Amino acid sequence: MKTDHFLISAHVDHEVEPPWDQVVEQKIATDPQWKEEWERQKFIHEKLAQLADPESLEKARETVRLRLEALRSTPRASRHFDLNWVGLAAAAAVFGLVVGGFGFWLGRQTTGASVAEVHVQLPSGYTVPLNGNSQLIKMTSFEGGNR
Amino acid sequence: MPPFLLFSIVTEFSAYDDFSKVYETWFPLLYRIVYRMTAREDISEEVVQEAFIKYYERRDVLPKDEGLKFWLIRVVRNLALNYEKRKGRERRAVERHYHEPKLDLGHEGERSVERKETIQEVQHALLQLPYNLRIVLILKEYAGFAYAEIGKMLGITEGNVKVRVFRARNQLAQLLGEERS
Repeated sequence: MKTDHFLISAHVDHEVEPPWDQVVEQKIATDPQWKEEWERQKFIHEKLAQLADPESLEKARETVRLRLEALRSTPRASRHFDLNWVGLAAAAAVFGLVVGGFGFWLGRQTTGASVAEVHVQLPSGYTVPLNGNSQLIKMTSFEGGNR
Repeated sequence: MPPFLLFSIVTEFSAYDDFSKVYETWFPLLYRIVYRMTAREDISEEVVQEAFIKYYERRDVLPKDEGLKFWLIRVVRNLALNYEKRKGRERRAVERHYHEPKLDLGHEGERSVERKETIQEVQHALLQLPYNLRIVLILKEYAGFAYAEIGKMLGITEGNVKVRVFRARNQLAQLLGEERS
């Protein structure tokens, strides 16, 4: 099918502007192939025009109007209220999890560095110097060195 | 009553008044388009209702008049397409069409019977067209849009619209010929 055949359906729809409409009309009048195509396109156009509006249209218009009225009576914000709160709560939970996790990790790192277990080998017979309250008497490095 | 509350109520009423106008103006056209696309009353109602809900929620930022018309048609087109994808496209629609209760022809004259048969055949053939051809033909035949407008709505060139209308009618002619034979 040649490209200019598409003009035939456009002609049926009165969409061909002058002077091309004259050219198409002349072609339809003289070329049997064009005439056949034009008749086919026109026939379908007329067939489709036979389909009137569905009988349900008016009923549907009223039904949908009532449904929309009912929806409108629900305040606009409240229709999204739950969803907004769910979103906010989820975001807060994720944020809490991330921050909490990081804090926990940081805490473990810090504890490991500040608390150390020190094993000291003391001479046999060494008694720990305690004060009256059973507390270790703090010794200076000098005293420690002498011992 | 506090002034801001009064203002809010007045604004809401005025907005709904605008909404009603838009609804009354465009409902028949949108319903007609979706009905011809799907041949289902319930789906047409659902799709058009959804389109108006979308409009109501975004009405503050949507264009007016022509722009709004194009926006609404784009919405129903997309919703109808989603419906079709969901339901397994034309094949099922056609099957449903055949399983629908037949028209009650009890007290009709012969001419009327013939006419109803023709209408059913045409609607049936229309449903068998590929979606891209069907939407263009429906917008042309049942919404009365110019090729340029259809092109703008669907995001295609005017030339492409012309080609699609031509092909759609050709295919319809073939389908109707097959049904007749």
